[in-house]
Amino acid sequence: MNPEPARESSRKATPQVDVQAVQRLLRDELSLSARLPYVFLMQFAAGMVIVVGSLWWTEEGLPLRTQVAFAAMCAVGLGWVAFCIWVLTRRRVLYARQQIVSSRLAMAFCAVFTVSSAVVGWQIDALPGGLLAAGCGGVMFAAAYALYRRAERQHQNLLRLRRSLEEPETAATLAA
Amino acid sequence: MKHSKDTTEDRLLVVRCQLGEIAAFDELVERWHPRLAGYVRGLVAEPGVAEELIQEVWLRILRGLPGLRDAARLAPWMHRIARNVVMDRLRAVYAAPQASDQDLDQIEGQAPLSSVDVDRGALRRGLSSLPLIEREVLTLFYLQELRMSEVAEILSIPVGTVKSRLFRARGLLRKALEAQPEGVGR
Repeated sequence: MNPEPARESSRKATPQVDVQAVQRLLRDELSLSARLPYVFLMQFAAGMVIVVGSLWWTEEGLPLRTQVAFAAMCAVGLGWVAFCIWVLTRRRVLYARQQIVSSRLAMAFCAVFTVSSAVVGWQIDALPGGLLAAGCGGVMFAAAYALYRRAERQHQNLLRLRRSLEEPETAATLAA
Repeated sequence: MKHSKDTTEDRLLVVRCQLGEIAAFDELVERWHPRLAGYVRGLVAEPGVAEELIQEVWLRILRGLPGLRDAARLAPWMHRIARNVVMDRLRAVYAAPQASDQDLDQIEGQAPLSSVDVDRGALRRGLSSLPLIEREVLTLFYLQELRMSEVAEILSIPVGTVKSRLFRARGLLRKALEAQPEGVGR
């Protein structure tokens, strides 16, 4: 039996991935809506870890079962943060403009978190947990701001490079 | 000259993609999908598997593009990703690497591939009968029309080794085509 006809018919029967199919695939993968849930989840998980960790650290006389529960919640929160970082750096990577949007969102979240924690801590007789959470929120804000500045710088560099490549003289120089 | 112009266009395309322009990704796919798909289909015999791998190649390109520093090396970079995807698949399928058992001393007078007058179907059958190492070097150099230095970069081997593999691959392909009754001389 000659295997070639079978192979040829198999080749015909399998739909080929064409340009449009790949474009659709990449559009789905590239959308900001495919990334933002991970950005939000990471911020929410980090906030939860800070709140729970601050209470755990500052409250005295907590029963053992409460401490175990706090430890478990911190571990789960840190796990989610690590997972989101992995997704955003390895699977659904952020392109220049998406980095700017994400870091702005992170800054806004951290600002709200820091102010809220500080207000709560201040209102309830200078609650140490609230003030500690506000301090950690401030550190997170600083980190988000550093990421924003880096994203802005990278974006500007790419825009400059793009302009230089679009200039006919530069293109001609490179082509020569 | 044309090659330099293409490289400049590729660089611009990469920068636009790195900025996050969706339209640039569409252009990138339009420009490169036929070549990459042809390369993967040339390496993988099973059509269903080849189509699956082509999608995987594009996903890896998407993930790696923000980190591509030298945009002028787009062609070898993308082909190397495609090759890695295929090799990962083969590693999973085969426990031991496949090697050619052809006697190289028996390969006779070599001539350029272009001198062999064959139809595309016969050529495809001939290529698919070659061992993977020979098939991929022929595909990259003749069908993908990459430069010798780019082929060397993709395969991570010296240019001299590319030349010797091409030499051997042409001989094997010639034999394979001659073995097909109506494959040669059309």
